[in-house]
Amino acid sequence: MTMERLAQIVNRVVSSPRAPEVRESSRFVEDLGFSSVNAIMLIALIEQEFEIDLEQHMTQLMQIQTVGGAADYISSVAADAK
Amino acid sequence: MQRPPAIIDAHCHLASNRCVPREFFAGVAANMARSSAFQGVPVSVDKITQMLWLQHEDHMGDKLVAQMDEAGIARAVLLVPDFTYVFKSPIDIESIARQHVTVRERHPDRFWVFQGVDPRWGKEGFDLFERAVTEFGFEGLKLYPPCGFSPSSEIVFPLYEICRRHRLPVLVHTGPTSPTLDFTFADPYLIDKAAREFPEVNFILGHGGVNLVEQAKLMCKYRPNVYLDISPFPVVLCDGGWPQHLTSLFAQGLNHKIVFGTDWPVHSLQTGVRPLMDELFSERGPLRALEQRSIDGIFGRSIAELVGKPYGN
Ligand SMILES: [Zn+2]
Repeated sequence: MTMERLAQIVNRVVSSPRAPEVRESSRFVEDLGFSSVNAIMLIALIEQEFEIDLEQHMTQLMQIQTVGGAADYISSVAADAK
Repeated sequence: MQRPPAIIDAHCHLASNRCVPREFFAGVAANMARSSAFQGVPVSVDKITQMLWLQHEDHMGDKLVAQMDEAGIARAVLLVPDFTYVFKSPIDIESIARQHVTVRERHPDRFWVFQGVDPRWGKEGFDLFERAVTEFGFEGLKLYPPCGFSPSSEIVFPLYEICRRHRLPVLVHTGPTSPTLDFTFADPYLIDKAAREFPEVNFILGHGGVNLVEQAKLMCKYRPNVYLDISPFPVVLCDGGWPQHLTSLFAQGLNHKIVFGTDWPVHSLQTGVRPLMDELFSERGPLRALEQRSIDGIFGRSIAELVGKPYGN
């Protein structure tokens, strides 16, 4: 569930028409061509969509390399917030 | 093509928000906000500033060392710009210097440190710089002219005099930077008078292989004591991307004046440096036509010679 919602958001951030399909294994930088601006946009959208605050998690978020990894992390943050 | 005996990153920083004032991040954030809005996801400048701020918590350099290990980088030059004269800062420049002493003790043999001092501090600042050399054992001077002074202004000369006496190199930031600073002092040509007046001091144009490259190249070609670094090459404005840009730069007979640098953490915090190194040293990468002497020089030997240290294992 988290993965599907996240994939939609990632698609919004990667606006290139040549961008490959977003999968769990997609790496943000190498596969999706993420820049630092893309990362900022993605975090802002995740906060809105999942109604969570990620500010205290910036260091950990920066280490995440794949979309699947991000989905797992968001699930755990969202669970803790409940 | 072989990787050099020990790769040295001649331009990086501690990713610590104790050493970089918030206004610096705010300027960077202002540019990112325009870009994100254009891409349909408006994010406020304050929000981005806060995100950038919170990404810089590697106060002891552990994360930096981990990514150096992963990328096969033996050693790095930590540059310590002094923003404390122009921006309100969490700690003063001496405390920032001491933080770098601690980092170096924690990670022996991994870092050389180039200390920054804004020349407008006057004697107090010059004394601090000299102590950083004699007491802390730092290896060079870092200057940040966009804070509001020309690197050839005579107010800087006492610092160059210290460098001359101790045989230390000077790394001078060139090119645009955070928009909260003054770009008119970022021109590589502004080093000319200083380089002429202090022929025994070696100057490295920070980002000279990426920003205002034509001026930087000419300065390196015609001033014997001027060098350039290639940081942060991944974000060079070139329609063929950075590998094409570097291929061209390395084909112009200036390799004895070029040193490798990443500018970590400024543009590679997310990726780390490993993927960049793999691409640099790939079969068809920008080093493919270079002789081993040039590769060794760019990736380690030249910066070691500039700081007066032996190179190799
Ligand atoms: Zn830098």
